[in-house]
Amino acid sequence: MDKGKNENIIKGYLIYGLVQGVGFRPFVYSLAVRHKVAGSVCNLGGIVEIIAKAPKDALHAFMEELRDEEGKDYEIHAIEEEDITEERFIREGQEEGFIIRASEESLHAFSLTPDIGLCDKCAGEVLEEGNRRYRHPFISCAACGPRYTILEQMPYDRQTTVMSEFHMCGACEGEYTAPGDRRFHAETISCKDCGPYLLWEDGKGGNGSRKREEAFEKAVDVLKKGGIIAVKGIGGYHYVCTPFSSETVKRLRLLKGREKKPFALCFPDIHTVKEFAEVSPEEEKLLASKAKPIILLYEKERRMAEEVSKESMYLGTFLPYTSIQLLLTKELGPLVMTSANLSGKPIIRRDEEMLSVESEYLEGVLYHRRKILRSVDDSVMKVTLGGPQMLRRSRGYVPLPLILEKKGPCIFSAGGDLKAAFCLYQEGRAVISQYFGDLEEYDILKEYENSYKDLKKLLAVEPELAVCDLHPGYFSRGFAKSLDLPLLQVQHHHAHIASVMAEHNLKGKVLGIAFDGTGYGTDGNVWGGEFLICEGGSFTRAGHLRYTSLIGGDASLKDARKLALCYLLQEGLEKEMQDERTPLIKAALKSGTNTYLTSSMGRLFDGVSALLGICRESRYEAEAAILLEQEARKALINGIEPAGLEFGIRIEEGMYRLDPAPLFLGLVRLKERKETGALALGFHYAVSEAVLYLCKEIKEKQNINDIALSGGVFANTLLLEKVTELLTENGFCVYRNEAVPPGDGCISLGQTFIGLERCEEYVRSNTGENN
Amino acid sequence: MHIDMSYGSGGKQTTSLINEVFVKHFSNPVLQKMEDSAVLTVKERIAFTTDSFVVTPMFFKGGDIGKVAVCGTVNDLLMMGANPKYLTAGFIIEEGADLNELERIAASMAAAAKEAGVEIVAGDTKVIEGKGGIYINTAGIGEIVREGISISACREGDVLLLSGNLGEHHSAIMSHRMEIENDIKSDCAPLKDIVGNLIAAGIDLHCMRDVTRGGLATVLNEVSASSSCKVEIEEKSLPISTQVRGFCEILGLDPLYMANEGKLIAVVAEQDAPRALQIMKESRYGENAAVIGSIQAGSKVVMTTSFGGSRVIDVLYGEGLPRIC
Ligand SMILES: [Fe+3]
Ligand SMILES: [Mg+2]
Ligand SMILES: [Zn+2]
Ligand SMILES: [Zn+2]
Repeated sequence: MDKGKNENIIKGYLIYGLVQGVGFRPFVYSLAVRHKVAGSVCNLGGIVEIIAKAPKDALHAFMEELRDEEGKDYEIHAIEEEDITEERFIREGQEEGFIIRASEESLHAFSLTPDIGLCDKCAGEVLEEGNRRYRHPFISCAACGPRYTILEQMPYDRQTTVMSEFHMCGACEGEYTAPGDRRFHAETISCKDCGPYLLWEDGKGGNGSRKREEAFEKAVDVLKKGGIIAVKGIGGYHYVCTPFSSETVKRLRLLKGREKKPFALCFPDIHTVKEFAEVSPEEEKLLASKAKPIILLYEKERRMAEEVSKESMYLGTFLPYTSIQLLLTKELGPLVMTSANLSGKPIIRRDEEMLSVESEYLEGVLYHRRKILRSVDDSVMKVTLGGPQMLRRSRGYVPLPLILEKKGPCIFSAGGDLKAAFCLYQEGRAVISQYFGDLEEYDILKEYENSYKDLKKLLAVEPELAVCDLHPGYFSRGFAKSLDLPLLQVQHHHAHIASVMAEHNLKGKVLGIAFDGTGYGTDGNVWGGEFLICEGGSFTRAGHLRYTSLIGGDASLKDARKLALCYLLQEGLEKEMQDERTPLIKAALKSGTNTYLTSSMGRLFDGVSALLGICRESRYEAEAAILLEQEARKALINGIEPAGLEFGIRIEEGMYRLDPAPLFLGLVRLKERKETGALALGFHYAVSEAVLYLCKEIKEKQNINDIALSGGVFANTLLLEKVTELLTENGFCVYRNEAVPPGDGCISLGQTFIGLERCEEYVRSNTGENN
Repeated sequence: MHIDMSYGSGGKQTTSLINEVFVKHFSNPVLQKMEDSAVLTVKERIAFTTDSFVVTPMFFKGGDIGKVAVCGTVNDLLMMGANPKYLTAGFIIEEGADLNELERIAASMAAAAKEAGVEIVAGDTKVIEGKGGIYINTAGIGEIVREGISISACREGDVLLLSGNLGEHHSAIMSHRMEIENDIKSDCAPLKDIVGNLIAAGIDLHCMRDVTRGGLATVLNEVSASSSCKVEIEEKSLPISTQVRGFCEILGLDPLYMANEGKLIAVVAEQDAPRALQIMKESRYGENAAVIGSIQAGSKVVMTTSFGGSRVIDVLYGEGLPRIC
């Protein structure tokens, strides 16, 4: 039967993205009424479900308008379409007209919204002379403003946030209670008459205090003179200064105790960003997104002080997500804005703590009395293969749930120990916590432990299973053990691959390639260059980078030159590198004194970087590898031929072994004859070719076509792109981390995935054993 | 000359071994009586401990297995506020062990015992098949001169002192094993002078521990667990020699986890800390003593690092195993 033009069809849509707490459902309602679409819209905790009945064209127009996010307050990440039966429509829809259905009680807590950056409309008002909120530093509306960092308890309401301390004035109250107003039920509403206001306190050596416009003017004045100040943000304080004075940024490095790692920059607007960096449309979209993450962009010619990003080709760039940031950058242009914390401590969020920092480098603090309840760092992303690549998932994304297909009990997953973040799962929703840092740091461990209690309470969940890493020394494992729950321990790289399976809902056999620095292996060795065949919640190791003996201790990992020496000693090539430590290292390797065996790909990158004289020592995480990639990228851009390098590949004990011996031989042979860039590029290609070779071999035997890439090494864009290109050309389907970082920020999601797959067998077999 | 199974037969060879080696070096009236057991007079309360020693290599810079065997037990007695009086020594000797080496060990034990003021009053020897190794067990008795010293007696506000440089024994042993030439010497020593002087001066001592296997980190975790407290230490204040520091840096070793054989920590009441430090510094083997931290309410061992961070110091979980990803 041919469907007539006016015949109704029924569809269901699941909308994923920032669609809660931003007036999305009322918008859908009005849109449906306008397009004469019948049905309902419902909040399902992190997802919005629309059930719609209308003639085909009307439905199409309705969805087209919904999809167009231009100027809208919501952000759609994905839409899933499904067919809805007439019975279900009668049950949940509305034959005539459209309704907003009550959300399911149990999922309500998962509708918790992350902090949303200043919206365009509010930004417009702040800069509009004569507006009631002209230059108001705390402007927000129903579609923007802090949420997660100011919420004391659910449900989200003025009285449950730190805004309860501020009494609305009559004018604000009027807007707050007027349906249809942009600030109708905007819980963070305020104005210059009733909201928080700016305060200034001089740093060490001064004791001046200022208020309101005077405070702001003082801050501007200090910044203009090249001073460093602290500015209170959303998830904590920033240190702020001009990026154009080398001397100033040097002082900032001393203040932060950060030798080399590049600093993030806040730009007044996208046009200014484009003056300094290459911006693709995809990158522009991310910069302007509601979360306002830091985006790594390629710098154009260098115009800022060398000290800002040193050797790095990237500029960590973000657009203002608070009115204060907007006002400061509009007045002063781009500013360095880096989290205010002492090394090894969480970002400072308490005023008392910030004001008590006594440093000759800090000239003052610009703050206010609106409390920050949680320390949440800025998120960091970049664009890879034309799509977003999360590098640090925190402000603006937490606590947005990731939706998993598999259902199971409530699960706590402890994550890894570095770049720690845990995950709480319930009813298909996986909420990954904010980023914490290294749990070996006492204050960070405390923050992690407290945040577990905090988020558990906010989400109203009670875990029945704990999942953690296998590593016996991980503090996150210690914490998971202390919870008195059945405990599932998951191998690190298995969790990496499982995180990709979770993100892309992969089923059947998947060949996972996990390249990272360090993870504890099931054989007690240190893994990190792994080919794992994964299916459901289990894995088998199909191959790995050949083991190499390295000198132990966490500090040794930063010493790229020492790593290079270990590799060279292993291959009998130690004469290629002059180092006074060689005899002692040789003796240690020979006698096995404080050494361990590792298949780490990250260490191999570090070692090669040092061997090529690119980096002797990593002064921030993965510096040696990052600079190696940069060297290769420059060669690629300049059309330099990659040096011909390759791995040996062997099958031993039924396992593929990638042998770096021929690679090192090639490197030392070509070192004097070829440009460093050609060797760096050749190395990246050699790794990529080896990956392709193994994938083909394994496909032949096991018929696996789905490849999942994860691990910190795949934050290397050049490698990721080359590997993806080669595999795709050869017919493989390649998946990677997108919404979670490829580094250890993805571990808790992978652990959750495996926990869900194995919970039944596991909880049963462990009954009574884990207390 | 090498020892063979006949030395363990209980016959003539055994007697000559005992007389020529042990009695000769350990000579004292009780031992010389050669009774079935030593008959001793002690005061009312005693401390009593035993330890077995398996050290390769047997001889190293700054000491040997014999010296370690005496010092280890003597120091354990001292840590309980006891004055060490008597030791026993049991030897398990593998076939092929060198007789001269055994005698050197015995002489070294005698010297250490003399310095510590203890007498070795009973002993035993067994010979077994093997590759020439020597293993020693010592047990010791000491008279309690100061009551109440305990690992569970640390209180909030107490001050933590360390009697000298970390990591020297471990580094010396490793150097030998790796056949690396350097000047690092084991710190192996009896700590009688330090402890005696602290007690004599009436220092309000809450806890003492010798820092041996597992290193300072392990001892401090024991303190934290037993006294239900947080132990805070300062990285900057830890005494470590330049030599050991360089050695550790290259090998990726953490001096916090390395064995010592002549170091103690003392936890003392806050007001006595300056005096205690002074006494330690003036005592034998205490010249590098330092105040390294304090006892606080809470749990865990936390170190303020040179960079201003605070690291949780856990017990050792596996040599060299990195945590960093
Ligand atoms: Fe990892
Ligand atoms: Mg002992
Ligand atoms: Zn707004
Ligand atoms: Zn107002």
